[in-house]
Amino acid sequence: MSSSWFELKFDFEGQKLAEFVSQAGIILFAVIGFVVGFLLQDILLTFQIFAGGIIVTSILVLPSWSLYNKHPVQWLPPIQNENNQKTLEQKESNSKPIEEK
Amino acid sequence: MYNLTQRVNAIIAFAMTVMFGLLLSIAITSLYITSNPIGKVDINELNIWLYNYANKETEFAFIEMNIDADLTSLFNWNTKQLFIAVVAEYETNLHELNQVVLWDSIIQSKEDAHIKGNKVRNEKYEFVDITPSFGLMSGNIGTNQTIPFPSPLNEKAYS
Repeated sequence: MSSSWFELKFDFEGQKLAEFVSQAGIILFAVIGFVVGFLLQDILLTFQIFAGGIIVTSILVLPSWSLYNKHPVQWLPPIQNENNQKTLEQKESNSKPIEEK
Repeated sequence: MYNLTQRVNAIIAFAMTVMFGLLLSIAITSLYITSNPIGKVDINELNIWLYNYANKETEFAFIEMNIDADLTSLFNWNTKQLFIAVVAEYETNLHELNQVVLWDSIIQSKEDAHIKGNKVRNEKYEFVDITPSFGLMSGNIGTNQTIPFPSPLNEKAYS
């Protein structure tokens, strides 16, 4: 858990959106690059636009924008029953003597 | 897409796939780009000399030619360089088609694609009959002139 700040996690809806944005972005810039490069007869321009598109897509998708964490998973509330209480009490009672020593 | 490393991996892998598609579409469309190269080769001078080559009396042709070719239209966005050559074709008793390269050059930029060569001389080759033409990968262009060989200049020395 110590490295979780670096993982920049998305929720499930955010993952779906991020996949669409990254694929659509890269394809879009490839098509724009091809058309512009063909019209201006400059193949270097095509790959400059494509490389720029990859950078723009990375900026859109890599950081943990709040857009990708709008639907956090709603966990069910923890169930409080007798068994749970008992096991907790047992653990506490087991640990007590060790601490006393 | 769950965490940062997975997203970096997904973007790089997908960009790689798209780039191969981009390269493929560039390669395929380049086949259909039309070009209109124009070329002309004029023979200024054609001299035949007889020499002893491998204990055999052999005719050597010395050619001086003017080359004027505008190949700028062959440079599209996917052209790296052009290999051009002046090819002489001739017929012998044994073979119907013989080809010999008289002159060649490599052009690497659109600015150099208009060739104007005056008094270009060939290497030593033996001919019976020559037909200079501009041979290109995208088809032959220019003049197909047929020039009969004159008699050797040093004929008396050998006869």
